[in-house]
Amino acid sequence: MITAALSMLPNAPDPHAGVLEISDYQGDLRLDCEVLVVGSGPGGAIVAKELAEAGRDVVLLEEGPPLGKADFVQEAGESMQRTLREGGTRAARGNPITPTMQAIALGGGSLINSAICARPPAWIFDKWRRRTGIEGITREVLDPHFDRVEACLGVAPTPVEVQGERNHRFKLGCEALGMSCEPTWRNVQNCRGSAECFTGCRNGAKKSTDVTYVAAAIRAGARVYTSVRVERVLASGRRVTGIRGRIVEPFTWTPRGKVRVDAKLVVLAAGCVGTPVILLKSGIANSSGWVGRDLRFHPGLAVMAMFPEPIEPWKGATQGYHSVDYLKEGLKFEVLWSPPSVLATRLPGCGHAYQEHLLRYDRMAPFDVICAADDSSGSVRLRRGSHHPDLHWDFAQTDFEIMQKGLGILSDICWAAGAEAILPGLNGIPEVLRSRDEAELIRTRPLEPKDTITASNHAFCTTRMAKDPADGVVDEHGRCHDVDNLFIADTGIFAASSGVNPMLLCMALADRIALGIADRW
Amino acid sequence: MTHHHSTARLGSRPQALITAVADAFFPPAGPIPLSGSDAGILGYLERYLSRTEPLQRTMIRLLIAFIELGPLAFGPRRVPFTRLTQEERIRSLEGMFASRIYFRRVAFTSIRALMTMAYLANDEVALATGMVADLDPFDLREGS
Repeated sequence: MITAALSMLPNAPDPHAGVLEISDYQGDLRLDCEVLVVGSGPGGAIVAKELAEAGRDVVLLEEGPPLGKADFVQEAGESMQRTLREGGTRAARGNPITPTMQAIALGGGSLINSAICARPPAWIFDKWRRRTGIEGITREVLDPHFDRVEACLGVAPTPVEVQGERNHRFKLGCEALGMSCEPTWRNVQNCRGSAECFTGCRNGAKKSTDVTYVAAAIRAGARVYTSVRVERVLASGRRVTGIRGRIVEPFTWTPRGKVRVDAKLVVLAAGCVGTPVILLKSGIANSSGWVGRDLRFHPGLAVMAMFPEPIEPWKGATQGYHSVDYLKEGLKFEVLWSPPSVLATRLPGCGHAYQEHLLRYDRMAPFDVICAADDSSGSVRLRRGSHHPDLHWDFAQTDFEIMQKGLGILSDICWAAGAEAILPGLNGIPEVLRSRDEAELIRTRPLEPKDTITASNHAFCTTRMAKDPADGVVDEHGRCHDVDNLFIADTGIFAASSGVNPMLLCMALADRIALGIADRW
Repeated sequence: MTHHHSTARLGSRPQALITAVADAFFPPAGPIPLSGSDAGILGYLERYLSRTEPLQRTMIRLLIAFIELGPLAFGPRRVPFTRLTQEERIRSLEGMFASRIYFRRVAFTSIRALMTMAYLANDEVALATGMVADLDPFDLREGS
């Protein structure tokens, strides 16, 4: 809270003060520490801060550079190339090909997500227990950790004055159907509704981990090194001894000097995709065979609601409202804004007709649905000759039928909100649907996953927690079953879908893991 | 911070293809008067490619090659894309969009996404659509 307040002052201190960058390094890096944390996103930053404040000698490594307000660009192509792995082109093979974006910057995903902080309902953890036998993770156990994280980040509901007409129309549509619709709770302060969450908030309103937890970790004595790619965890028997890696140039990712860090304890939080890559390359922590298996997504689809009058959808909080009424059926409904060229993937055609659609953006609102996809899974594997992973994920037909039901509800929301047309972006469905009756095709026409443009930036379960070491990679405290002093603290440890946006749950788990390490190590 | 993997320019044939595709997606004298080539799509894509890692750069070049060679298999006339008329080029792309073959639809979505990023990066185009960045759209900043 103090950091957030200070950052709002004129001539506010640099929120990245003390963070080491590539220009600070003279040749190779050789370090030693008590606790090494890999990754500065919603998992790693929390662990680094809590353990530094507990008096441990902490080093935090981050592969990406620190990016501040002056570094954010709104042009979609350059933004993605700066902030996202593989320049935003990463995708999982399968049915369908599923784009999935992971950040590469100080703050990780928290830098360029829509800042939604949502607590999963209690029954989500019943699912976790049924899947992998985990009994100690419940809402009751996690609530104090949610409280701590929310207090540190200043999480609060999106205020009405920054919602804008796009968000209001979504709310109108939900409520007209008798669906609940509430403001999203977000880790932002003084949001002005510029809708730039996905390209970086140039107002500095987003309280991502780089300006909160990382800054607090440094104040508590942690050493933070950016532009460091961890390639191998070094181990001897059941104990890790450190890591080996490379210094990498920002944006070109060209390897430069070598990195060696010796540590007494290592916490991997390189993300659901990054952590299994490190473990697979290192050949450790995988006697169960579950490292990189069971990749889970929340596949998402959007439709464009077209209104008779301009609504200027680029104004307003990126995702200001959501409806969780159908969570138990595996569906969550949202409204969003994204760079227009990204949203345009769902518009039809080319030529003058496509230009006409671009001119009508001022009357469009993208409403989206995400699906728990409990029957769908995939994998993270090494890609020969590359530090990038080979991802695979298939959308199970049972889950896709749930998604199609969700699209039908989304269509209902559009019409109830006053839309005069819907652009569904589905193969086999007319490009423009001009009435509610015509839009019933969304429900009734047999569709398959390849008829959609599906994406998922929520990814988890690739190093899942399980009671039985044969059934997962870590225990409920994030500790690897095979390795005494190796922990994982990112969304890879989820045992199943979080049902809602995963960031807050990742942070709460990381908080619990960190406090457990401080207690027992 | 510099951000270039490669300073190599595209050869004349890829340049001609990109220009042809750009003007098929965004023809001149349309509802947005600026054509794709007038909006500087070629220059944008060259800069974009210079910042792209080698594997992705190869994939994009393969995508462009697929566009060029596609009409030989799928029409509307069995010649490379750059030898089609403007109207035929648009039909070729529309054929990809509506294809029963999933990979052709994916290729269409991918190339159009690249082209659209480039087109909307042009200030004049952005102004025409009204989508201009506003850090304080509701005038909430003190003193505004």
